[in-house]
Amino acid sequence: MKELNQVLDPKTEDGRSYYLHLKKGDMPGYVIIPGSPERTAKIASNWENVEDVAHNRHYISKKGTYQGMEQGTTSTGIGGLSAEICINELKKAGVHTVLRVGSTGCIDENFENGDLLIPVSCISRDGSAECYVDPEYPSFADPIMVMALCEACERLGYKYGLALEYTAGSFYLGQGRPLSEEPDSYWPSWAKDILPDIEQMGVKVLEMDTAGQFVIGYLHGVRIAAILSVVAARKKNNFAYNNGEEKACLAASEALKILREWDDQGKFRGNTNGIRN
Amino acid sequence: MAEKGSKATAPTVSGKVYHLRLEQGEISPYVLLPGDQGVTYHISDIWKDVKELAYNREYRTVAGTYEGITMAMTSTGIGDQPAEICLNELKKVGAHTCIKVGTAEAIREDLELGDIIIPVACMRKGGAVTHYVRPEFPAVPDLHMTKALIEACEKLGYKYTLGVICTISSYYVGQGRPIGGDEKNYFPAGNRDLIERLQNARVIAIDTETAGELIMGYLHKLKMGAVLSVNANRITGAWGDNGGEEKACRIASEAVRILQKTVSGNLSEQGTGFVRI
Repeated sequence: MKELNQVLDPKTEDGRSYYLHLKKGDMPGYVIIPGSPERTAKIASNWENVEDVAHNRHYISKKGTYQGMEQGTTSTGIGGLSAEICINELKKAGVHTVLRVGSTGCIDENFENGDLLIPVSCISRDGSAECYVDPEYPSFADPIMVMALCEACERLGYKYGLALEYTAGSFYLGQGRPLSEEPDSYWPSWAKDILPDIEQMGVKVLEMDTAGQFVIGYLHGVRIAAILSVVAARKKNNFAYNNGEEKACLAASEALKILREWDDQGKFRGNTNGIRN
Repeated sequence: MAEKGSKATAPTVSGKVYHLRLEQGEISPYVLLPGDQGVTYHISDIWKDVKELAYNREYRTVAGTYEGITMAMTSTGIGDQPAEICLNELKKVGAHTCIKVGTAEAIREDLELGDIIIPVACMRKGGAVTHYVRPEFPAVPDLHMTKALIEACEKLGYKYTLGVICTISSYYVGQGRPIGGDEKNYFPAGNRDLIERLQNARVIAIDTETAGELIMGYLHKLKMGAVLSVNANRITGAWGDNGGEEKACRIASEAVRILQKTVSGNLSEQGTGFVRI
């Protein structure tokens, strides 16, 4: 056991975690983590008995019940670093299962804005995972959670796909977006190759958060997966929501309910000890 | 008749691929991949009507039937580089689904000799795959394959563990084995504490091929998976096959049977909409 002090594990004066303002037991074990603070309200709109648990900076935490099951939600903010803080403090609050709900760009023409993609594994160029472990460490979703997400989409009748995801710790240049229309704006030769190269690798979706969350979540010993709604169809250069966010939020709550049922039944338990604590 | 011309970029010998000495359509599209040629002989304990199709260098290919289903096995040799050649040429002769059947050294005390590991993702160090993709590219099996391997283990009554393994392209120093007993031998600190570092990163076993085979298979658009048996435990010092090779071969054969049964199968049992990555 490692001894943690105020510097290593900072707390507020009343003993809550430094950024999320949570105490152990404040949140249910199963938590949905959107990037955007506003999306916590959309997630909670599918629940009953919603309670505001904490709010500091962009970290909003709520809990409620979805079809009888207690669930929580905490917003991570944008990027791997902000999510690292969130995952660390959720784990300390007693959370064991986290499910990211996000939005994404898509480079597969079979999917439109509003469709759902479930990342199976990621190319991790987010910048935070590399502070934890060698670059060759795999970024992958918990396979049982992926199965629960697929099942949830099928029950809800939502079109979905499984995807290799590319996480860039950059929204503009790192995802192949020119900085501006000015001819002299920074645009190195390799920037134009980002999208064609990842397409060659079989990548379907690209965004800013998932890969680092997977690596950091796994190393914290929490179960983690994600469901992403397409907002930027990059091949057609369309940007639109088309209700994808709402669908992803509902699919996430449904998936956690399915997972909870499997956990209660002991399904896959005892055989997944390699990827569990 | 003069020998048919052959391109330097895709060499052939009498119409057969250069290293494997097979021709298009000569083998089942379902191929098991041991490293060791010996396994291509032992498989006749499990398959019926086993016959040799080709044998050149370390690549021995046999065909046979399991529960009435025709399948093939080709030995890859040791390490990613001969496996790269093997996967490329298997794809050219019509393979579409490959399962590595191999061994791994456990770095967790509770994994016993002969126990089965189904890797859900791999960390990697070195290998031919470094010529294909960046270090951050994830090494993961096809999710359908993982599901079929789990189902196969359950049907056969074998205990199995899902987990992260690390593939290392060096058996001796790279896997933390001193060159010899002399303390002056080359043995840098990073290799001395390798096992401890990997344990801390929640890795459960090490091997010499799986990560690279999964990625190169993926890039060749093959459906890839792996099933490994524990043949050594680096914590307890235990050493030996203990029936693991045969179990891994039975599981892989059974998984092929399951996959053939559900060719266009969805990830979960019901519904539609599943799109393969």
